[in-house]
Amino acid sequence: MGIALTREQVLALAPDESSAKAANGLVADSKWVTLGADDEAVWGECQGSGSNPYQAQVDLGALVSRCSCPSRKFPCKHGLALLLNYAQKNPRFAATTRPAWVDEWLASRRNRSERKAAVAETSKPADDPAAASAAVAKRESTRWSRIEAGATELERWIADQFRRGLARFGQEQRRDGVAMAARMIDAQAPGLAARLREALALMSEGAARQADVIASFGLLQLINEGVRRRGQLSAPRLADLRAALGWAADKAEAQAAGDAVSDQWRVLGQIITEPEAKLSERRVWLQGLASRRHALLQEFSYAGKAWDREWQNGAQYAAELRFYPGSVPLRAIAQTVSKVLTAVSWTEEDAETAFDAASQAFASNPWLAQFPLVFAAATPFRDGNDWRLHTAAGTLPWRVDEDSAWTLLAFSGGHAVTTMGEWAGNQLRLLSGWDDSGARWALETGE
Amino acid sequence: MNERWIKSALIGVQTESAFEIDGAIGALLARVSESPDPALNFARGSGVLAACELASRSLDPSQQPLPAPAKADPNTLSRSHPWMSAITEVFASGPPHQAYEARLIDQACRRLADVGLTLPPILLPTALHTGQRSQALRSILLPVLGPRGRWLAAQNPDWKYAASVLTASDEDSEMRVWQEANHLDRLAFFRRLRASSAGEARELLQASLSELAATERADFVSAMNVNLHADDAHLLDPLLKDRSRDVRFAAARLLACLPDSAHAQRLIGWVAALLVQKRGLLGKSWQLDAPQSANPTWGQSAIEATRPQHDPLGERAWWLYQLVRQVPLGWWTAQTGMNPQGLVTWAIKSDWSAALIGAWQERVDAKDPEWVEALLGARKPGARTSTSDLLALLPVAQREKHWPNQIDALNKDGGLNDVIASCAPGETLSCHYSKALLTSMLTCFEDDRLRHDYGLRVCLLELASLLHPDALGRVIDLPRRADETPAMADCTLAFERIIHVRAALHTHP
Repeated sequence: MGIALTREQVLALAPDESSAKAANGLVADSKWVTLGADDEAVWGECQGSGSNPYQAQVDLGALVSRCSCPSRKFPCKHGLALLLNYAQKNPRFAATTRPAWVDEWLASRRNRSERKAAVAETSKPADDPAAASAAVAKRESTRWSRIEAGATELERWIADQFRRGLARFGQEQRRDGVAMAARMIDAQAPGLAARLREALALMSEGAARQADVIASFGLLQLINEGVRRRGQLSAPRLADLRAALGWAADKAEAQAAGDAVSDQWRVLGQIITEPEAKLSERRVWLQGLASRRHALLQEFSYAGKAWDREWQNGAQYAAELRFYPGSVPLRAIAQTVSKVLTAVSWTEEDAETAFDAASQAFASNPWLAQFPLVFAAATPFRDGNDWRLHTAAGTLPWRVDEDSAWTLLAFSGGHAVTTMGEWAGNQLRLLSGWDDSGARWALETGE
Repeated sequence: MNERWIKSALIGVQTESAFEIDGAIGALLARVSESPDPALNFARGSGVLAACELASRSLDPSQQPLPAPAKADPNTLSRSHPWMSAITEVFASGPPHQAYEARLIDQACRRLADVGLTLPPILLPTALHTGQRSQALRSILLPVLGPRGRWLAAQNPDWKYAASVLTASDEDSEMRVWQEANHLDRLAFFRRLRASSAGEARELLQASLSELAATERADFVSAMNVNLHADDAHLLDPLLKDRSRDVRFAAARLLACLPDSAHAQRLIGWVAALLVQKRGLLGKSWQLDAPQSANPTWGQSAIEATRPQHDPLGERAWWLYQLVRQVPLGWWTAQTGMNPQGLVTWAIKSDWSAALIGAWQERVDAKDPEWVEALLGARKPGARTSTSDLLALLPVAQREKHWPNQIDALNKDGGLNDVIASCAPGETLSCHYSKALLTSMLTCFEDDRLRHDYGLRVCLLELASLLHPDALGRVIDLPRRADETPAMADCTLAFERIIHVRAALHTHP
């Protein structure tokens, strides 16, 4: 067998408590149609609810897993159960030939690493830095031109809607809006397209959301204005604008030149969403022990590809984070990560301070998608058909899917717990909760 | 944004002046409103105001009273408890879709209740949802919901059934159960009271009868069979005129068991008149005739003169059946001097066998095992009472004597369904029989029997949930076939899962 693992080490990889529990239920040898291992990987086929067993595999070198199940958690319960079986030194792992599906995956991982290395090689400064810089500037200039044309078009469309009156917004206008969102994609401004689609969705929700629709159109117009005045913006503000436009930030640049913070980071909570078909987005929220800074590790995965690393809610990691630029630098890349075995206890900020920090963040960047909010001594409760959170500084509404909401209510039992959620400026989506005993609640699924 | 701005946006922005605001924001709005197009200026102004709003949100300071929190529950299954994994697995797939899943939930809850534990909070919504879907599981779920489960249930109208459960620890609490709890809890309380103080229970029911719905009345009246006493006739007699047929029949059935009651005497009088002993060439013999015509006074004894349209019995047989099904079985042995087997043999030969056997099958209960055995020998297809219902009246060990312990033999004559259907929730087969049956069950995974037999696959899973816990340790790994179908694989894995979950629940304290 390749490496020796303990049960504790495996369970530490679980993204949340429910995954660990579910994995424990799958450890039984009988659930595994096949099991196998060699020096590089461990694999197995676990019979799930479908007709075909799920194919779970773990690269022992990086402890990265992949599974054919539809779960968006990584590792999923099958991957964890597979490793638990492996940690128990199940004799069925001995002397098995690696099946083709494992070979393919390992080969694709190797290829990807090689490609990354090759890209890194090719992205090194060219022999003629001036020529390379000019090429980059030309590409950027072309994209800005397209975006500006798109933003002008969108500006006209928004003004038309206000001129005509939102009360007369009908099917024809909706079709125009959808077409306009598609044109924003063509204009290389996917952020504008996404915001426009959200505004159109709000239009469908009736009179109660009219003010939100107007605000959404207004914030879109702010982006349009920003595009036109981009030359006058500071570097952080320009970074905010680019992020709002959906212009992917340069990871290599952040790794090389981003603001570096070494600290002991605790995982506050995480969520996996599916913004588009087959595309998963994972947001892991961290907070530094010494710096008290918040950080967002945002990753995308296509067609169920594994995340680079697993982060366990509540666990603490020693890491150096490199922050992307911006007025409210939250997004970061984690480097040299190691899990801290003896976690340090934290004192939470009071509710008012936490909420003020969030307001300050939105004051600095109105296009911010989310800001992490941790409320100590917060009591989730049901108010009619709404879910609300009571804190020492007041109450606010929150939302998650209905099943998760009831589990959180069951978890808290009407008592105060610490909660963590994403504040989007007007609504709170709770991601995790914990109490003094160390028991935790985590959002069951992405939304 | 105020209503005026929203109104402008709704009806259409034709002129400037949509935003009228003082101070720094007002100045900023003025600065951005430089375009000749008022609609564009409105869009810009909306952006400014939206950004300001995002930065100026505040928590709602109104301190509305919070709902009282759940009471502390020291008995909650802890995260480190060895059962945690098995219990989580049992509830993992939500409300049960298969009968064996319901049995697993039932058994898991019983195990928890046996040691005084309650479900962990994280599983409570699933458990409550299960009870919402399955009325049969409610009574077994309620004790393991604990105070937190009841607290949670009180906040969801769909879980109302679990919200009012009260734990009865003293007399006051007992009375609160009677006054406030749901029907199932009141019924359970009534049965307990009936066992300890039958008269008090009767008085309680008497005082509440007028407030009860028909189905509830029928349930409570049936529950009076615990410690039935002659004094109960005062309550039961008037119920022979109840609006509900079920209540009338429940009362009549109980009154028939009170020999001094007017109803019992009327009934015996009617039946005795139909049963005569005649002397023939071979000695004395008993002969039974059905009533020739309907008696106008039958109505007062829960006997209907009009035969249901589709009843297989003829009119006279229907009258006879109704009379006989109320008469206690002991009367027949005492009256004729025959034992149950003799009476059943005699009945089969009579002209009224369908009415007699059907009525006796309905009348028999667990207190008459000799009758059950005799009636099992007289079972016919289409009988009113199924074989499994009769078998369920016998203790498990006695029941098992009727079954082969080989799966093929059981499957051949429908015995598999009898084994399954006669096992009440919480009941398991004996250890000895389970071991023998399990050996035979395991052979099904080695050959092709599971390939095409859907029924067998379903039955095997349910049987796995009925095996005695001490027999479970014999299953380690089932053989897997290279050519197995997905259905075979599903069955094998589900079988192993059931065995492992049950073994885990019974291995640890």
